[in-house]
Amino acid sequence: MTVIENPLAKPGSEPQSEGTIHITLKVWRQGSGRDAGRIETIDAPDIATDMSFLEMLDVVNERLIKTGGDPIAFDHDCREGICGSCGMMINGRAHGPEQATTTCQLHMRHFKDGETVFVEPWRAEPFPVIRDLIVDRSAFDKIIQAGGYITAPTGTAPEANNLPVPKPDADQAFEAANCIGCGACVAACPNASAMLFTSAKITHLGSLPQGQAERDARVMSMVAKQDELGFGTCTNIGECSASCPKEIPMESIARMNRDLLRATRRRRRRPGQ
Amino acid sequence: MTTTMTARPSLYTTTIGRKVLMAGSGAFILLWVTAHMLGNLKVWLNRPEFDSYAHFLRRMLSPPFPNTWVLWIIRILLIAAFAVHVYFAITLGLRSRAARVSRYEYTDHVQADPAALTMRWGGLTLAAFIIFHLMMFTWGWIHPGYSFDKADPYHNVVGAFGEWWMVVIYAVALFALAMHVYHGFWSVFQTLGLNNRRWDRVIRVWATGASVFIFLGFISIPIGVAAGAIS
Repeated sequence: MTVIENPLAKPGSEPQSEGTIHITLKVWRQGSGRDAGRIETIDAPDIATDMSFLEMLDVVNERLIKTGGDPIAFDHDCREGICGSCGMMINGRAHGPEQATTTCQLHMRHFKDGETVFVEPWRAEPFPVIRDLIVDRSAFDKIIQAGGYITAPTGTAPEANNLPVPKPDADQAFEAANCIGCGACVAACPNASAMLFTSAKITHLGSLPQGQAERDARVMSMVAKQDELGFGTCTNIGECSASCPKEIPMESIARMNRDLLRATRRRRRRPGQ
Repeated sequence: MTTTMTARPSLYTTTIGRKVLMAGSGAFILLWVTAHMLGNLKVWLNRPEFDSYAHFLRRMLSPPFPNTWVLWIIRILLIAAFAVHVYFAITLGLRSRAARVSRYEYTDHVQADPAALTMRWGGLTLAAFIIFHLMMFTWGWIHPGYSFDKADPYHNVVGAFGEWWMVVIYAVALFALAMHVYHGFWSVFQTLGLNNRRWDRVIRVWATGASVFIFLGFISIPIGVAAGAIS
């Protein structure tokens, strides 16, 4: 295989292509939600290190189809790290070994020749497995429906500069708005808690002037919904934030706790609001 | 408004509210543990100092309050704090367990520290130790190699750590306590919403300081007795 040098690569940056590796996949296979599921061992020789993890699965699937096997089902869409569709546990880590990286942006050069790689779906009761590595994440949509929005009359877009937003607030909102809803936080949390996801939306909308009117109702409603859906409870371990491809910080959770405490206090003082 | 946010009125119906109760009860227990440790350090002074401190505990705020009343008020508050802390630890723990019925074949962590991952097992260890500790120094049921005398606390302390394995039991329990305090101290700030990225490092340093301080303060006594410095 010819290796083309990347002229833009800085010395000491990511290792460039070293050719191909031979790995063994231990993949979770599950026909449907009712099927018990099991780990299947799949031999994967000749994997180009330039491939992304999803491209590697594409190649493995092509080979499986050619030999009459059943291809591995997995979620994916943009393949550029912004849609939040892809996501799987790779050797026990959400989105694999690289920090701030989605599965589609993870390259095979981070794996060693001869390595055994475990690939499993997100595991949480509110995320039931649909097939193989695909889970149903509509629980996240339900949390958003409970209050993850700003009520506004539709129509022509308002003038962008009508409402001044202080720069630090805008930055904080933007940082939290980076959440792509991939579910890695729930998958990585030893308690299968959705606190980081919910708090990212609370922080995003609660940092902006437009989000103030519904701030109390939003936090109470979204937290109640997250609990109702059966997510676990936060024990402040921090695996969520460490596994988050968008690096949503743990301080979002502290902020959500603060907002909930304040909302409850205010509601007690002014019932009916 | 086309959709309405359904706001629940009560804080304690939420998991966060229950965590707030755990944080509050935990903080109260930690304050008590700190006072317990500082008081115990009087054993390093001499026998009359320690015994007079022990007697003071029974006569706190006396005469306005009859003897042992204040002690019992503190004991009842402490028992209540433990009840709240343990009850929510169990119910929230079971909830998290139910949220991940099917487990990973391969588990790994990115950064989780052992203190955070062992809160439940550490808590169980501490619960077992507390019962053992009460059986030794409050009820006097366990007294290997010495006679328990309720009126002579100094004698009981010196007698208790005559056996090397007793020092080991206390060292293990205090290590579990230090781990629990390290994660718990920081968690109080996080759960009550008093943490942010600027204060995070500082609170971690305080948490380390608090756990080391409590560990060293308490362990000095069994070691002091075993080394013959307290006799």
